[in-house]
Parts: sequence; C-alpha cells; structure tokens
Amino acid sequence: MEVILQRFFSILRESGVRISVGESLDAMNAVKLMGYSDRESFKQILSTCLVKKISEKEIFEKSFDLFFSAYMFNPRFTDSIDETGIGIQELKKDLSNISQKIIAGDQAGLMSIVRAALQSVDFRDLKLVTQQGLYIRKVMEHKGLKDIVKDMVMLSEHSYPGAGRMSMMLEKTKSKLFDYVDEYVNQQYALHNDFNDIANDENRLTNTAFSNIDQRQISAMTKVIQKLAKQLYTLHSRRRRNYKRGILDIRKTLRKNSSYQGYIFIPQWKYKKIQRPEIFVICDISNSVQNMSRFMLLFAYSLNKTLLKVRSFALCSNLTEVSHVFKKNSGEVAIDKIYRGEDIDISMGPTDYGQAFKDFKDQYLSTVKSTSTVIILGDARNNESDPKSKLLKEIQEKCKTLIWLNPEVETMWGAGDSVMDEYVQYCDIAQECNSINHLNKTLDLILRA
Amino acid sequence: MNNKERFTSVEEIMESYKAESYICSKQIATTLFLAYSLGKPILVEGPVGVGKTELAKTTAKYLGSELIRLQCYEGLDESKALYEWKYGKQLLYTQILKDSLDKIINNASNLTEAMDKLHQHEDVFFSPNFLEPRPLLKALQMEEESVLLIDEVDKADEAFEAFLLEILSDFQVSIPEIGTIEAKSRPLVFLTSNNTREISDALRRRCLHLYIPFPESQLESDIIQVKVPDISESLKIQLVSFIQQVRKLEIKKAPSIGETIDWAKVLLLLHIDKLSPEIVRETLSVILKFQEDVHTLDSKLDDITSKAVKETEV
Repeated sequence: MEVILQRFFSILRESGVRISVGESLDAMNAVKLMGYSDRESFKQILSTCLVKKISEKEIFEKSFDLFFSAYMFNPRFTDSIDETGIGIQELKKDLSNISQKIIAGDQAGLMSIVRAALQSVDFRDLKLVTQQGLYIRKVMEHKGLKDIVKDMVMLSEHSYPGAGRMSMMLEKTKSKLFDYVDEYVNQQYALHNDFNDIANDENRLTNTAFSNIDQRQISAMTKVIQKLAKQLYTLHSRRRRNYKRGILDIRKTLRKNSSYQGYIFIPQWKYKKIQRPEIFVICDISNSVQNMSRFMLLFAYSLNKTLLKVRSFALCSNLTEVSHVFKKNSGEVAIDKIYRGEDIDISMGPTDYGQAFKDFKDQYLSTVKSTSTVIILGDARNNESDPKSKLLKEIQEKCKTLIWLNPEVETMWGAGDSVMDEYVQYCDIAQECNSINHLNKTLDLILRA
Repeated sequence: MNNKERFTSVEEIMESYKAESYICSKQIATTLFLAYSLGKPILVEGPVGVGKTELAKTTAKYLGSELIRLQCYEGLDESKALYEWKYGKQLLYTQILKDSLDKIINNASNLTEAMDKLHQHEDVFFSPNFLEPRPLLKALQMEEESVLLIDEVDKADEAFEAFLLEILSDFQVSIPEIGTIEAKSRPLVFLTSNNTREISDALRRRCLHLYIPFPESQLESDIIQVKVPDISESLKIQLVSFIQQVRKLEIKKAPSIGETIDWAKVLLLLHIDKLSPEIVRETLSVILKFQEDVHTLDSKLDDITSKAVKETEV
C-alpha cells in the first residue's frame, strides 16, 4: 500500500499540489490508523492530510478518481479451461508461468504478473499523447507478458486437440491484456500530462511578451500577476515594520511611565510613520496596445485590491477615472466593462495623449501630492495630434515620480507617429515594459522609491 | 467518561456531537478523529457562519475540557497572545522590598560589589511568578487537556503566523528570560480562517485541513431540526429550499446557517407554517444584511418562494 501511496503523492506533486515529506508521513499514519476499506473515508483522510488549499481540492479530486479507479484494481481477464486430453498435462508443464496462470484461471496470479510489468516501466516521462504507443509496447514486451506469444508458437506446433483451444484462450486473454494496458497507459497519460506543468508554466509566462499571450493563457497570467502583487505587498509591508523599531522616545516614555513614579518600566520608541505611496495609474486602452493594457489594468486592479491607494484612469481620445469600476467588480469583469466603456465616460476614437493630459490636469491634478507616483502605460502614438508635452511637465513637477512604461522597444520611440521621444525628457523613469518580468522590476522600483 | 474513551471512532464522534446539537458530516468527524489521534492542529476554512467556531466550542464541551480562545486581529502580538510581565506587580514588589534591597546594597563597599550582589538576585523579578499568561501560554500550562481555538487567524499579521509555528509543531514556547516552556498536556488546536488573506504554506503544512462548505439541503435540514426542534416539517423543507436557492444567487453575503436558524426561530415566533412572498419580504432582514442583496433578490422572490412551497406539495 505504501508504494501505491507514494506514487499517488508524486502524481499530486507533479500536478502542482505542494506536499511535504511531513505531510506524506501524516497521511501514511492516518491511513494506517483508519484503514482503507471504505473508499469515501480513505479519500477524506488523504484530502485532509495532504490538500491544504481550497484551490487544490479540485486537482486532488480529479487525480484521486483517476488513480484509484476501480478498473485499475479489479480487471477480469480469464476463465479457466479444463483440458485433460492425452499429452496435455505434459504440455502444460512446458508453458511459461503466465500462460499456466491463464489456463488455470488464476486471476490473482495473472494480475501480479501484470502489475510487475506495469511497475517496471517508469511513466513519469509520459508527457505527449504520441508517446502512448511506445509505452504500451514497453509494458507488453516485459518478460512476464511476452512469454504468452512464445507459448502460442509452441502450442501451434502440437496437434493435440486441446492445444488449439488453449492457444485460442491465450490469444483472447492477450488481447484483453492489451486493452487493459492501453487503458492504463491512457490514465497514466492523463495523470502525468494534464495539469502537471504548473510550476514550469508560471516561469515561462513571466517572460512572455504581453502581446503574445493567447486567450487560453489569460487566466494563468492573471494568477501570476496577482501573485506578483502579493509578493510586492509583503516586501513592502515588511519594510514598513522595520521602520517602526526606532530609537527611544524620551518624551513619550516619561509621559507613559509617570504613573510608576518615574521608574521607566515601559519604554516607548520613536517611529516614523511611513506614508503609503499613492499611485495614479493612467492606462492607454486604445486598440494599438490592447493586449498590454489588459494586463496593466489587471495589475492595477491587483494592487488596488491588496495594498496601496491606487487610482486608475483610462485613456483613449480623452481621459477618465475608472477606480470605481475596479471597486465594484472583480478583475476580468471590470476590465471587460472598461473596454466596453460601461459606466465610464470615455470616447474610443483615435488616441490623443495631449487631450488626455489636459483632462488629467483639469480634473485630477489638484489631488496629486508631492508623495504620489504617477504611472503612465501607453505607446505614446498620438495620431499626429498635438502632444502638449508641457502638460506632462506640469504633472511631473507636481508628483514625486513620473514613470512611463512603454510596450514598444526603445528604438521605436519617436518613430512614426510616436511622440515618446518628446515625452521622455519629462519622465523620471521611462522604460520598455512588455512582460511580467519588466513589470516586476519597475514596480519594485516604485515601492523602493 | 474518560477522554481515552472519547474519539474512539468516526461514528462515535458523529453520534456524540449530535447529542451536543452539532451535526457534523463524515468529513468533519474523520478530520476530528485524525487530529485527536495524530495530535495535529486543524485548520478550518469556509464561508462565514458555517459553524467553524462552533465546532471548537462543541469539541470542548464534548471533551469536558476548557476552551481557551484567542481572537486574532491586526496588530496582535506576543504580549497579547502569549505572555506579558506583570509590570505593576514587579513595581510593587520592588517598593515593598526596598528595605531588603537597601540592606543588600548597603553592605557593599563599592559600586561593583553592589552590582554583583544585585546580580545574584535579579532573576527574582523575572520569574514565572511575575508572568501573566495569555491564551497561548495558558493552553500550554493547563494540567488537563484543553481545546485551544485560534479564531480568524487570517486577520492577524503574517509575523504572528510565523510565531505560531513553534507552538503548533512542538507545543512549546521560548520566553527569553525563563527558557523554553513545554506543554503539560497537548491541547487540541483549532485554527479558523475566512480566507481574507492566504495563510502561509508553512502554517498549512503543520495542520490538518478541513473545508466546511455551506451544507447540502439534507444536512441543513437536520441542523435546523436539532436547533429549532419545534418547527413543522413542511416549513422546514420550504425554508431550506428557499435558503439553498438564495445562496445560488449572485449576492454579496450569502445567508449562513446561523441566519437560517434565526429565521426559522422568527417564523416560529410569528406562528407561520407556510412561506409566502409577503412574509418573506417582511422577515428578509433576518437573512440578508445588505440592501443591495435585498434588491437583487426582490425580483426573483416570488419565483423562489413558490418553488420552495412546491417542495412540500409533492
């Protein structure tokens, strides 16, 4: 049983459920304690000991059902045939182990040979559907199973009437065995392939350019972004706490301890109040940068949810605040709403950065403080209208840091209708930002600033 | 009954908890059994009001032991959760013992000698006598086995979580002035979380995990039967059907079991034996706590009510 459990653990691990050695020991102990006669409670034992996150429960359910399916443990291959003709007894003795078991109808014995064959093959590398054939052959070529074929050849050389029937019996069982192995390999494929590459996926996604992300990956990307936002938050909050351990605040200490006749029992510490940085995110949502801004908005949303004071704005032909949309809706829904222009006052004509900055200045610049950070996400392709870079200068003067993240590579800045070369002089930081890695670096920069 | 005779089997747990008017599913009973047998803490997650805290309370009642509760909140730290020095008592004692302290020091000829003499006595004031145990330390010091409930652990800071690790895995705490204190008897620990924040993997790893979802109709009906025994069969069925349907709607806060029970009590008080849209509307405030939710439900209320009523007509 332990071997089977071990294999189940490794399959869960591959599927992205994090199981420590301690947890697997717990599970083993628990199973020892409760037994495994009742499937439902066996499942509950494993679930409670191994799977500690609600999101992982589903993976567990799926893997459990696949791994411990009844078919895997209780196939039926053979009925005995009773041949007692002349010479048959002699012939039977010449048969290999497996064929003898088949003829005798020894279900358990046959199964143990099949299991040995299955266990001799390492299925962990079975990742592609096309590999299945290879793996089936690997199992069937295993010594114990291969003997059937040899025996069939041997039987065909004899002309006893029973020999033919036995040969037919072997043939029939062999094809049943083949089906079983086929099914088994199929399940192994499902276990090993389906959702196993979670860890790798995340890494790859971090480096993928936003523009190359297809629909299927969006939900995965969402998770990565949320994780990132959380990491940044933890990093930042830890820094804040460190600041609290300051030096002795004598005035406060005397005041606090005056009730103890001036004996200093409870020292009070000075600490700096750290201002949470306020962030204004202005995001271009025109078609030219759609893929990119989707994730930027998502990131703004994640930040909004987890940590800081973030105010978000969408920009196209004009500029408008979208923070309230984020507040009321969940991530993807909010972003779709913004793109459809629901609940917000935006016109989706040609992008006009000049007009957008004017809107920002008129309506929101008064709320920008000297500690705020302004992030602009966009390609600065202004469709030949007036860039009004003076307005950008005004914004820069008002805020602490002005950051421009451009999805285009730096060599493209200023080419065609891009006015990035003009804007860049008023940005404290201007960077190419086209993947999570870029985003990560930049955001780190903001929080450290 | 001795504790040794408790937690003998999953079935026994289910029976005994029912006697304490807590209906637990097999999943819950299995986890309790394992936690008790393996000496592991249980991390209970689930939506608000499915009886996470109640589970710990019932367990304490069932074991006949004391329930020690630590409510977590932002900013909770060691001095609130583990121990604190009794500053006042320390101060008082130094004042009372002033004379004897003077004597000790007066005999000394110089400052170094006085300090040396004091050094021989300093630990007196930082001894267990001056220690004010907070819930965690109290649980470890209990002579009899106790139930420790760390409620809403997700509300506390992450630093506090790290601090819990030592207690949960080894059942011991280190106090710098005194040393390591080990548990006299291992408490049965429950941690509850509403998932407002992801609990760290390190903490999860040390616990058994139990997710309590909203109950199925049958289970909820059983719970109401136990909590509000006077309710009529038909009203109970209608009520459960109604609540189950409401939970499927997209609303801010789905009605919890506690609220269902309250509603059942209210309807009983009003001598109502059949749901109707008017009555539901009048008593809706018992189950829905947001005005928006009331609005969402309003348009579908007639349908849901009639569907719920139909359940009993079949």
